[in-house]
Amino acid sequence: MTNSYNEPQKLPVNGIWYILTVSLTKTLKTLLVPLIVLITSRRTSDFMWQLLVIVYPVITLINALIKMRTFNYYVQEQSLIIEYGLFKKEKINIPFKKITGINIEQRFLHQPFGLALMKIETAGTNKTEGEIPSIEMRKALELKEIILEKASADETIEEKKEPLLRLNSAQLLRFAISDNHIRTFFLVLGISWIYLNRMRELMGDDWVRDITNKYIFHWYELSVYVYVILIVLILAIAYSVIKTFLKFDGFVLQKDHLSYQYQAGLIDKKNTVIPFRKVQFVRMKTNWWRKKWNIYNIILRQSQAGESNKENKKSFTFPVFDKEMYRNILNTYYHDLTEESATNRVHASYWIRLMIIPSLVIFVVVATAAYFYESYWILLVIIPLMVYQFIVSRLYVKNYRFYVNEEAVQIDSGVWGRQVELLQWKNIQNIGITQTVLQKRKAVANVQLVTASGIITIPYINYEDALRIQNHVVYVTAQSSRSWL
Amino acid sequence: MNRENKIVLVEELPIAEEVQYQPLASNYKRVRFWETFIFLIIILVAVYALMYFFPQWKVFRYRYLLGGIWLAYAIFNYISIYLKFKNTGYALRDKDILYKTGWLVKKLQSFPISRIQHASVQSNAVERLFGLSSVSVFTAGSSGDDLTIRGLKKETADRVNLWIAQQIEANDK
Repeated sequence: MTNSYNEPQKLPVNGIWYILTVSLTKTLKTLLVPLIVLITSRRTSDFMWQLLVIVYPVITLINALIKMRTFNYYVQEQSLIIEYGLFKKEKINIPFKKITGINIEQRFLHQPFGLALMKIETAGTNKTEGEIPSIEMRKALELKEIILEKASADETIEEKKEPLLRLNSAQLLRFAISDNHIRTFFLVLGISWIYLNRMRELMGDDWVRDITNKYIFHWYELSVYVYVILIVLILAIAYSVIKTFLKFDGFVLQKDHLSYQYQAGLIDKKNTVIPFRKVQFVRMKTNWWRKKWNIYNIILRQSQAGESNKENKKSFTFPVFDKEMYRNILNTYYHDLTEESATNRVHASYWIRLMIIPSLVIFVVVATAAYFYESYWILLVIIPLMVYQFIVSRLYVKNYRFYVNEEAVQIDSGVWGRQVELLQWKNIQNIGITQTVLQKRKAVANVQLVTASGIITIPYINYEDALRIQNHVVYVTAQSSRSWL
Repeated sequence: MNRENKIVLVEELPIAEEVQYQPLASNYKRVRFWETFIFLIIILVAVYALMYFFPQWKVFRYRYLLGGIWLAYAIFNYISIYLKFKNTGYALRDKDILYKTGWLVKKLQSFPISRIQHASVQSNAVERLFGLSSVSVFTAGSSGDDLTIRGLKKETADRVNLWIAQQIEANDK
């Protein structure tokens, strides 16, 4: 390494474009509401107006420039120092020991200049998070190495990093196509419905009546339906493809003895470090189609530091294209329990509980529709919906199984697809047992495993087993330290 | 769960069910009574205000129904207070804090000492009138699932808070 970063480092001049854009968008966002108010109230000659439109952005830009010119960062013994400010000097001291994650992101305006945005996450409050808005990519990677090295000074094992997983375009395409399009399909339909109503307001009722008479109430013109469904489906698939490539283009996953590192992204390149100890539990999701194609969606749930509930930021999702790799990643956290432990199931009566809320929703929605359209044959729709819900509920209970050993619990569930959740007991923050009056009669209860990254519930198991799990969790947590922070 | 798959406990802990739970202070019922009372009055005032400002709303044609719902809600709440009080209790144990509550849905929670980050004592105006306090226990889990033991005498709450702080410290060593 050529530089030890003990001297204060300035930001590169080219970084100004990114910084200016960020502060401009920020200004726009702040000004949006007042601007709309001012424009609609037609008081454009007002002094307030000029103040807002000219002075405020200028002040923000000058502020951004000052911050950029005075910004510097350096390494000092056991911490990273970030300083900036002219009138009011800010100095942020981030001890290496407290750093829990380093993200290097290459935003669109960074790419032409080979720059990046570096975010340093720490445990505890989210306030102390450090950020270097634009830094040379080379320096960012070197600095990351230094930080990672110093953060784990007591660990002497040096391991060579090698790519664990790469995703090529063909795989990404398969992943996008096998997405669950039913959800997007209904979303598009719903949005079209809203637009149709808005058109009705704009163009008058007659126009809509013409259209609906022509296309919607002519049942014999089935071809129209086929076209509509095809178009919506193509839109849904296109949406999935774009989303997938934006997020996962050029995906590379690396692994060393302490963490995963991954980089991906088409426009905004992201480079993220996920320390193993921060992973609270692992979830795998796959739908019916992906199961056939051996595509597994892995979700690593990290602890959420501080009060902020940035769920998305704290869970990392990526697809894996063979079972071996899926097991490999599972094994880094713990290991598959299906072979070594006995199968446990939930109480058979759980399907009734699963029926209650969907049935109510179905009844209310269908009954309201019948009432408004004054056609009571719509009520017949309830029958197939209920049958479907019945089948889904029974299958869910039939497929639900969980496995326990002294260190972890694994839950396999799913109706058409499959979901696997693997959680080590020591990652549990607190544990609750809930029991309704009806459950009491059957001597069953729900167990809520509260982790630092969400709750996992095991429903309808024997009350005594629930108590046993609770006791075991207390015992395990008493043994292990709080190293996850 | 299958019988042959029992989780083996290396160190036998008393099952949470057999633990002697500490009840809440008996005048906590009165605190809840007044809190509920204030809440119900606020709802009533709000509905009357809406009626005054938006008399054209269709809902207000069903005055008796609205009144009935309010009354039923009030009765349910007051029954809840007493049944919940009977079922609520906490136990401070060596390795965890146990808390049970609820009557329609019973809940038994365990907060391992090693996962507790800190605890605090606080009290609202009604609680202060009756000399009661609450103890909140925080873990790294999502905030909605942290523990608040309400209805403790002020001295008890302070003692519980101190005990938790000592346990955390002893555990960290």
